[in-house]
Amino acid sequence: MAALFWLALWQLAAWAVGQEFLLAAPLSVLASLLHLLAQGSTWLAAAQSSLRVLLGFVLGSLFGLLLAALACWRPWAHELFAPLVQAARAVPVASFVILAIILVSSRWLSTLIAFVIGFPVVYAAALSGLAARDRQLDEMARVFQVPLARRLFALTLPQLLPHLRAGLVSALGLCWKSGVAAEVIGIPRGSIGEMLYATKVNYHTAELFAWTIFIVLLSLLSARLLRLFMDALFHQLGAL
Amino acid sequence: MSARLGFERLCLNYGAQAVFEDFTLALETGQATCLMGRSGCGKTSLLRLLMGLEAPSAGRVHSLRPLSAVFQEDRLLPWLDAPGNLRLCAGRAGTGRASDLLEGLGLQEALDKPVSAFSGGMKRRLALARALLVPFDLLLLDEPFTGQDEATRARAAALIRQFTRGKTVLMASHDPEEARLLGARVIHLP
Repeated sequence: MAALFWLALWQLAAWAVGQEFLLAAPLSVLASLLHLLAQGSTWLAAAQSSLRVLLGFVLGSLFGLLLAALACWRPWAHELFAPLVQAARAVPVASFVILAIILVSSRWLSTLIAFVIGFPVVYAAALSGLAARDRQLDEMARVFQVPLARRLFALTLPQLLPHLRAGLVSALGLCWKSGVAAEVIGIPRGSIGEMLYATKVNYHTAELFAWTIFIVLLSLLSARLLRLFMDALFHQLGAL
Repeated sequence: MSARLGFERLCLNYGAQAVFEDFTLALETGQATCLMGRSGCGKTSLLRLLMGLEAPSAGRVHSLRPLSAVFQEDRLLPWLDAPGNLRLCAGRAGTGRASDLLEGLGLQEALDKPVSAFSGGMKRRLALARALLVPFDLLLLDEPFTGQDEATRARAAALIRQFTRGKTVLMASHDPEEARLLGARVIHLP
């Protein structure tokens, strides 16, 4: 019902504006979206952009996890990483993109930006999970001399995963937003960013909306797959 | 000090509060001993010192290794089932003995349930099963019978005696009946 209300409002606004290039109507956007989905180039662009954004997300997540483990293990590391993480969270995405475009080719720009935007979120989530873990269980494992690998997989990870799950999903959404923004600035050939940029240059507002919906769908799909993966992992660890 | 187990001129402080000052205690090995005393007299602290979880402010702690323990809290992994909790500490080596222990402690019908679904008494018995399953020269028991009715307590005590024959057991309790059930020598802490 809520979705219908907002669609109706959107349609009314489009009628009121009366200019397709300023505000495209929902039906025009739907037609554009169906047209996009029928084209092979759309899926090729989606595959290329997804690969780069997700690569940045995965590398950033691993980096965030590694830093969080170090920060939890050694207090000096926590202090050392704090300015880096704060800077990565506070600096505008556009500043990173402009700096990064000098350093890497536009092709891998979205990977680098997804990495920089994603890692502080995963770092914070992992750190809060590690800080909230039950220290009494750590003591128990120490007394019983539980081997390190078993302690990690059976004891630490199951306590960390609920925190990490929320952090990873949040980071993934940010990686998509910032990754596509980086592509719009860097305009790598055959990417979603290039397609979006073209719609802006040509005032194809319906197509811009359609691409936006497509990107949101890709982001939602990847978040759904990530949640399924995390749930399966948690279930697996619970069965150890 | 000739004893291999005990405390020598021990001082233990928590902040400004001194729990032990120049405290010496020699414990007999190869038998059960029960530390008794009012709440807060330091029974759990002594067990934690023997486990190596706390360091004395001064003095020496003589412990034995390998050791096993039932902590004051159950310290089980609630997302695992009973066999999973036992495997975490004992590996797969003690699977046969684990079944005997779980049966002896009346937990055989709860094997497939996660520990989060266990009652308080069942958790305590599982913590005891875990402690008895791993190899040890010293078994530390901190109020091991909490939440058990009389019959279960007697059955658990018999199982402890069976699994610790000739080994060193140190229990903290404030119930003389528990010391009697284990056949333990009683030491009253000041």
